[in-house]
Amino acid sequence: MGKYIVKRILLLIPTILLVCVIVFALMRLIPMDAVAVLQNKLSASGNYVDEDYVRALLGLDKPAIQQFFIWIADVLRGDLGDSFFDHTTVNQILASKLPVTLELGILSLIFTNLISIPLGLFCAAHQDSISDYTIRVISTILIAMPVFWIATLVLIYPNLWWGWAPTVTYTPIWEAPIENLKMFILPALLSAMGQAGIQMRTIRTMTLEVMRQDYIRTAWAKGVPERRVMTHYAFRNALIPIITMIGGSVSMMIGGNVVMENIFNIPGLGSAMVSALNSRDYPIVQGCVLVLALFVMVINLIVDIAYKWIDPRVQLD
Amino acid sequence: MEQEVVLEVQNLKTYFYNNGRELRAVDDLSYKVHKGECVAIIGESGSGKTVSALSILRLISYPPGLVMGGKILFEGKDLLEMEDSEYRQIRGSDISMIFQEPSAALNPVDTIGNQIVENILLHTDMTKEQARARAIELLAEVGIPNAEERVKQYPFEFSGGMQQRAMIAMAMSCNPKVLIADEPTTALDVTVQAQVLEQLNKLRQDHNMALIIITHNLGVVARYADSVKIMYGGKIVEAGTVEDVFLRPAHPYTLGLIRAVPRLDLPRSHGLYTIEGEPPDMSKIAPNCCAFHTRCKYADEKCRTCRPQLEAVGEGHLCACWHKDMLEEERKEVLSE
Amino acid sequence: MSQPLNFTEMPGAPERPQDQFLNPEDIMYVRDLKMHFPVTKGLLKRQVGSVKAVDGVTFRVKRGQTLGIVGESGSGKSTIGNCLLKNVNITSGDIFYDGNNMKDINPRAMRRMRKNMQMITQDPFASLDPRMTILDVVCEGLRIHKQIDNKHEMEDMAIRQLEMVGINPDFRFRYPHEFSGGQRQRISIARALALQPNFIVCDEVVSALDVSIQAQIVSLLMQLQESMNLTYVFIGHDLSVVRYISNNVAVLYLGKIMEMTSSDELYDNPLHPYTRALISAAPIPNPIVDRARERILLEGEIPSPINPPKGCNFCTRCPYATKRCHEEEPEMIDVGNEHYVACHLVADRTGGKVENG
Repeated sequence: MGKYIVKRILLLIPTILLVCVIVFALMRLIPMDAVAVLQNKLSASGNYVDEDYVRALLGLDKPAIQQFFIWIADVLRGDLGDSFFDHTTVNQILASKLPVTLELGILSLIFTNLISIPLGLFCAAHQDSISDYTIRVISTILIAMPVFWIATLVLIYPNLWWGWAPTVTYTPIWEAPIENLKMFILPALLSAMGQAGIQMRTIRTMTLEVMRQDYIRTAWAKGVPERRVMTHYAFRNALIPIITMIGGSVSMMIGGNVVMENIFNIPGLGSAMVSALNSRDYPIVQGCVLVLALFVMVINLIVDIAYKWIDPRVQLD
Repeated sequence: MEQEVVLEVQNLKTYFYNNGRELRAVDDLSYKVHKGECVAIIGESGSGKTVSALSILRLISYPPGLVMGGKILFEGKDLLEMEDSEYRQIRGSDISMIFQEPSAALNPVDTIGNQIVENILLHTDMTKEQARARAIELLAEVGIPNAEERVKQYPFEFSGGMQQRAMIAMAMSCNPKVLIADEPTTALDVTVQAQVLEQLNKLRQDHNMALIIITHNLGVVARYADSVKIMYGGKIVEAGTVEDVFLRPAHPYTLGLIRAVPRLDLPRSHGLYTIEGEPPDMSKIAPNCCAFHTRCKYADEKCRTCRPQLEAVGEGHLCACWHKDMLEEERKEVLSE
Repeated sequence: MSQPLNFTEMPGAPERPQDQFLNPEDIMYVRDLKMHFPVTKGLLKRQVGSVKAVDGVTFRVKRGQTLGIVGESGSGKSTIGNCLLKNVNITSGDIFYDGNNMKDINPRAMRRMRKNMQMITQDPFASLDPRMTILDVVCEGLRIHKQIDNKHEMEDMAIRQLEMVGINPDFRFRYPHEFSGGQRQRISIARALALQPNFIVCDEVVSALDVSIQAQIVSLLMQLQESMNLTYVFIGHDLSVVRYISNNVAVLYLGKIMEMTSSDELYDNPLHPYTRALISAAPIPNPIVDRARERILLEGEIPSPINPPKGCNFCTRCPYATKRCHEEEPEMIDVGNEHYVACHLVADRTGGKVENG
């Protein structure tokens, strides 16, 4: 087990390197580089810059290979670079925005599972009952409705009817936890709903599939009470495919929730990356993608270890 | 010497409902099981043999299956009338069951030991430690070497034969009075099958436990069973002692089945008899006919329109056939071999 | 059908005079066949061992007869079947079909030959497109081998095949799932026969069938053999069935043949301890006969073919194993009457001569 984890961590190194190459190359393959975008913007107001001068200033005049190695050397020293256009470093941006993104992601992950697991199990246990049917219909509606639309409605209507509006000013959690949570609960819940709907249906299907297995029949034949059959036999076995799905949704949620960040005015990585992408602020995009990729990989590792913990048949090597 | 009756099935009817079609998987089934007796239920796929066993343990779930009638008396009490909580106490302790595919019947994510311990804890007052010690003892008793170590292992670390032994240990853990074995060795290799069956039979004798073996393997039945029920189309068509059924078969289906099995002890030139046609589609059997009439060479108008009832053809030997007398000649021919 | 044996085409053939190992009445001769599958580990797929699925088997199949191969799981019986039809690249050994070494046959000739060699498996429809009607299924081979181009002719041919195996040809536009297991097995026989083969490998063809259906299929196979002069290799785990259909039976254990002789001799005079245990383990459906039989119960289970025991493969379970059995691998000996056994104890007792191919 320990050997396996070490092996997997060592394997992270080439993977990260590959991510570096890809994100670096992709940034430079986008038509119009940082300077051209800047020129474009300025020309609207009748101003011009000396492109060659700015390129030299930003280090973009060097060959791409050289730029890459300069960047990598900095990254290895723990310096993800400076923003092209703002007086800030990528490290500073990550320090201020990554916790926000993680908080939103983790909260919505918690909500997703809090909703989907009990409901999925309940529906499986009461297959084809009225409550099963109702829950499934509601989940379909939640999956079908665009999240940004519901979010907008939530912002508008309560305000119109009762004069209540969700908090949209960010306070760090360590300063005012209550205020902070007030702001995060609603977007986290909203972004959890769609995923919860999908996940609930999968949990239901998986559990039903497991319920058809012979070992469930054995459990009944042993006289195991129903609740224990559901939790100890059905859910534990259904958990194996469910973990895969949760792993997938974690990556998605951590990747930054641009829509929610924009609607609820949350200063997260998602919106920062989008604006950096628009202005071709290479270091910001590269740095953020790199850190997020690292997170996703670590989560995948945790999921794989969780597999071993749940399913003894899994051979880690 | 007649032992007391421990389990009695009376007029059991288990029907399945699929898309509005009624399928009489078990239709008016009655038999008795005595203490310490080995009863074999023989049938081909779709004969209702497994459903009848699952009905005893109330493992038929609706939808699609429903026990429509009959009684299952265990020590005089009707299992079908019991409350769930009361019945759960009997399942796995007084009446237990082992299944066809041991690899599928054991919970893959729990150790063998825990699964046996769970059964003991459910039905006795033992502490966890006592139950664990008992589990090791049981594994050793069913012939698993190195039981102290094996008890910590997961089902996938066991071979098929060992898995089935573990299932038997689990089923035996509360000293059942009736053990139902549904095709217990079909999934196992021939030599392992012999080991497991021998083990089961020994446990039956040691514990004076009734054993109901459900199988399609006539050889296994001939070797171990005391009494035999032949099922066809959801009904018993012949019942009797193992000698009655194998040496003096009265139903054309029984005789055909016996002749359709290649005999290891007879020369190749002996030949093989074949019953024509396929086992019937249960949802299409008319209620008022002999289910076997489509494949029977003795069948006539009466067989097509009137259902034969089980009648005695000898002491404790029952047969449901209108033409059991016509079988005499064929039987002679077979027995002369 | 049979071609004259042509030895000039076989490299290395002159070293061996033809009569020593190739008989014209044998449609197939398998010499020291080995099939090992590599076991790999880790990211780099480093080979850490091999599964010795088939580990040196030699046998002959006589034209128009049936050779039965009986064995438990891990004995390599199905692997042999696949090797015979060259579905896998064998590790070593030779397979002669109609006097030709399969190694030397070029791909084109192999395709032609494949028509003559067919295989029937336990559930052939598991690997088939479920949207094919049984007419398509039966005609598939004809189409691939461009045997018949005319569509009507092909359909007529398929109808004849279906009739021959006892399927009502009116059902030819139905799909496999609409048929029962026994009927599906009949259809797969029709499919195999459509190309007019003379050699068929039957791999566990009746194992999944009910007793009454099993007898029907076995009888059908035997009847077709007689009318079409077919040669079968019949692979199974049920000794009673295998022995009934076969002229000769090879008893396989852990990739090696333990004993091989005619079917009747195998029951009347089994020599290998494993054969005896196998016979004893197969109950006879007659309570008086069966309960009077000697009961041999083997200890333990079949070892893994990755790590077979030293010496005789059966030594770990053999009740009579001596020190020698654990150290030295027994050679196949001919005890006379085309009865071959690989057992030190039998060899000592009979003083039998070593079989030479």
